[in-house]
Order: sequence, then C-alpha cells, then structure tokens
Amino acid sequence: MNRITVIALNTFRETLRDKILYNLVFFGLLLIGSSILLSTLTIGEQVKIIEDIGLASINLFGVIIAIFVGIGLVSKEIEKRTIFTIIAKPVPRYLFLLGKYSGLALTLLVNVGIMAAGFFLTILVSKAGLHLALLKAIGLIFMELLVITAVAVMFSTFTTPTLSATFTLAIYVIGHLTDDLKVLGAKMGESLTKTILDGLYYLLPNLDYFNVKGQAVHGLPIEPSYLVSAATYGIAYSTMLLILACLIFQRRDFK
Amino acid sequence: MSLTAPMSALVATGLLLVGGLHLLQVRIDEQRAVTPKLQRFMYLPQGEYLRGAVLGYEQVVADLLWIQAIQAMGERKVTEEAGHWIYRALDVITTLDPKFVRVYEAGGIALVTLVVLPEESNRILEKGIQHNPDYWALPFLLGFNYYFELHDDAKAADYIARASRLPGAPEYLAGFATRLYASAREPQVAIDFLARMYEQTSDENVRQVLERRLKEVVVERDLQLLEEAISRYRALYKRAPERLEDLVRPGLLRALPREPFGGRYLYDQQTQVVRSSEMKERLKVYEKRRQR
Repeated sequence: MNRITVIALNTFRETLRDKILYNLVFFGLLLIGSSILLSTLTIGEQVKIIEDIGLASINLFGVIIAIFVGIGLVSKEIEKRTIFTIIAKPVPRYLFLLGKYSGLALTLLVNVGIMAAGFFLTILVSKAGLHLALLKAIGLIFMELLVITAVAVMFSTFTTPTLSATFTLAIYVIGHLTDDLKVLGAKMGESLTKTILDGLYYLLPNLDYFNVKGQAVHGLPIEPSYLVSAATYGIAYSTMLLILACLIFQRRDFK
Repeated sequence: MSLTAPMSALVATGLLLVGGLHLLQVRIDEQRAVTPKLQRFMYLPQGEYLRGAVLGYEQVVADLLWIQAIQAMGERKVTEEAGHWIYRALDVITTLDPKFVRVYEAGGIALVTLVVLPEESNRILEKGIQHNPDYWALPFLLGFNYYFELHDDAKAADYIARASRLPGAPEYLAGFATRLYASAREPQVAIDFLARMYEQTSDENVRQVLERRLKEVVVERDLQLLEEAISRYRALYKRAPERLEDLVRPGLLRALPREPFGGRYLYDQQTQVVRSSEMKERLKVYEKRRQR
C-alpha cells in the first residue's frame, strides 16, 4: 500500500510541475470570474448565469486537464526510459499504474478544489446565496473526471499520447450521447441491431449520469440516493477500466 | 551595423501590417454589419439537435444565446421579421433549458410589446407552462395576451384564475379573474392589468412601451369620466358647462383628473368634446385595447 502512496505523491508532484496545468486552471478561474461581467448583460437571472458559467467552467477545464495530463502519465515514463528504473524494483506493474492514477486523481481534486473556491468566491462577490446543490453538482463533476482519467490512462498503456487524447475525447463525446443509443435500440424492435446497440449502451460509460448542473442551478431536488448510485457507478466503471489497463500493461513489452 | 538595416525593415513591415490589419478588420466588420445580428439566429440548429451537440452544457449555451437575444431585442426598432427570429431564438433557448422561466416571461412580453406577434407569444408561454406548471406569471401573461391582443375575455379569465391558484400569486389575481369573467368593459380593468405588467417587467424597452400604453388608457378613463360628468351637468342645468372646472363645483367630480403625459384636458364648449392636449386620437376598438 505504501508503494502506491509513494508513486501517487510523486505523480502529484510531477503534474504540479506541468505548465499546461497552471494555464488551464488560470483560464478556468478567468472564465468563472468573467461570469460577473457577462451577467450584467442580462435582465434578471444574473445568479443563474454566474452559476451556469461557473459549473460549466469547472467541468470543461477539469475534463481538459484530465485528458491532457492523463494521456502523458505512462507514455512519458516510457519515452524518457524512467520506467525501467521502477520496473526493475520490486514494484508490480499494476501498483505502478494505480499509483499513477491516484496521483492524477489527487491533482484533479486539488484543481477542482481551486476552481470551486474561485467559483464560490465569485458567487459571494455577486451577493448570491451559496447552496448545497452546487456542491453536489461539483462532486459529480469530479466523479466524471475520475472516469475520464481512467479512460485516458487505459488508452495510454498501449498507444501514443496523440492517439490516446483522440480516443479519450471521442469517449467523452460518445459518453454524453449514449442515451441516444438506447432510444435508437428501442425503435429497432427485437433484432440483432438492437442487441448490438443495447450492448454498446451498457459497455460505454454514460457520462450524462454525472450531469446535474441544470438541477443544481434551478434548485430542483437532487436525491441523495441518486448521488450514491451515480458515484457508485463512477467508481465501479473507473475500477473496471483500471483493471483492464493493468491487464494490458502487464503484457506490454518495453523496448 | 549590418544587422540593423534588415531588422528595421522587419519592424517597419510589422508595424505596417498592424495598421493594415486594423483597417481590414474595420472594413470586414462593415461588410458583416449588412446582415442584421438577429438573422444570425437563422443558422441556429433546432433545439432538439443542439441539445445533443452541446454535451451536457445546455444551460451555459442557453445563457449565451439568451444574452444575444436580449441584445437584439434591445435594438430601437424591432421589425416583424426580427420578431420571428426572436421567437425562433427563444424556442431554441427554452428547448435547451426548459426550466429557464425568465426566457418565457420576458420573451412572452417582448413578443407582444416590441412587436405584435400574439400567436408566437402564446406558443412560448404555453411551452413555459408545460415545463413549469407551478410558475404563476406564465398563465398570467397568457391571460394578458388573450385580453389585450386576442380580445377573448373568457379565455383571459380562465388563465388569470389559473394563475391565481398557483403558489406565490398575488392576492388581487382572484378578484381580477372575477371581474374579467364579468367581462367588465371598463378602462380600470385595463389599467390594473397594465400596472401589474409594468411592475413585473424589468426590461427598460418593454417598460417604456407599457408605460406609454398605461398612460393612454388612463387618458381614456379620464375622458370617459369627464364625458359622463358633462352629460350629468347638462341633465342638471339644461346647458353645457363653460369650463371643465364647472364640473367640480356642483360636486359632479371630486377634482379634475391630471393628464398623465403632463399636458392638459381641453374642452370645447361648442361641440362639448373633451380631449387631451397630448394625444391626437382616442383609443379605439372598445376604447381601451390596442387596435389590431
């Protein structure tokens, strides 16, 4: 267990040295702050616009960070040959991978935390009320980021960073559209196509589960039981991806 | 030394380009201005498709479109064509974010004040009621449309009554509905209606339109009061009053009404016609609603 923590903390320190990270967080905060400016252009509903932009910025920049830092984690080690020094030690490969993932998850947690702090500050400055629903929405956004990071790490165990980024981005887009697969399948009637579509629906991550931004902003109830189900889904899906990643990584031959 | 010459040439070219680019940008902006801002909503895909394409960012996209739509609504003259584009934008925005009640509310008002498109306004409001059945202002506005624009008092009363039963509805709505059911054809009903609308609206353009309309109806109410007093004066003294002030002394009027536009009420003893110094014509159609 201790070995994972060492690798995780090391990964965390490593990602903090990444300049792209600071740029992204900076732009995220800038966008959140600019919502005050934008909200002056509307009639009423300033609070809604500030909250919408804040949540969307945290989500969008979180996803970009998860993808672009996630894809480089493993491949960079292979490229720089630093992976040999770790593989040579008595560290199983799966521990290495899990450590890397945990480190990035920690980085994301800190980033989301910073952006959330900026968001809450913006809300306070604009004299709108803070409410718990916003925190629930941010919590589920973090769950989405965990799944996306797992996707990015999984791809990065067997392909180049560019391809991993493309694949992960594709999964992100598809993940928000899987509901359509189900609708499409339902229209097909009992057939092979329906079976395939249904199979795809259950295989691909349904990232829309983690989207409660609208409910949070409009003050609609978000049931605790829903939060638990969605979070469990996120953790289970990420774990599945990580197991897959470990299996692939175990067989990988470093040249 | 030999390096300075090419360097300064480079800098000069750079500066020239900066200036040139600025001029070019100004020129392109002028060319683009030929297409009115609102018409760009033409390229907006249907709400249902856009909903899928924005990957979970429906609210933010709806906000940005709404801000653009407001800017377009703020233009000094909104043509009927522009009104149709506004309707299209509102429809897309509310498909993206069906709980965005402010859009139905402000949009529903704008579509009957800045332009006269009561059918479109009704459609937006009905869509709003469908998605937000507990929000009283939407059936209230629908009632407004049926009363002022479509002249259907029964339907208007139905919607106002419906609004009055919803949480947060002001208490006067119930009495309002009753009076509408009685089809009270008196300017006071219209004044009440417009005054409530005015209180509800925060858009400056719409407020101006409503304020003007409100004053016109007040003038109409005052003129009807004065005419009534004049006929009672004649019944009493068998002659026409010389001045409007004559009506106050025998107690036919408590005081002379104040002209809301800041002018005066003028009276012609020969024809016994009263009119406002500020309004050329009286309101027609049953004397208080907008003529279609």
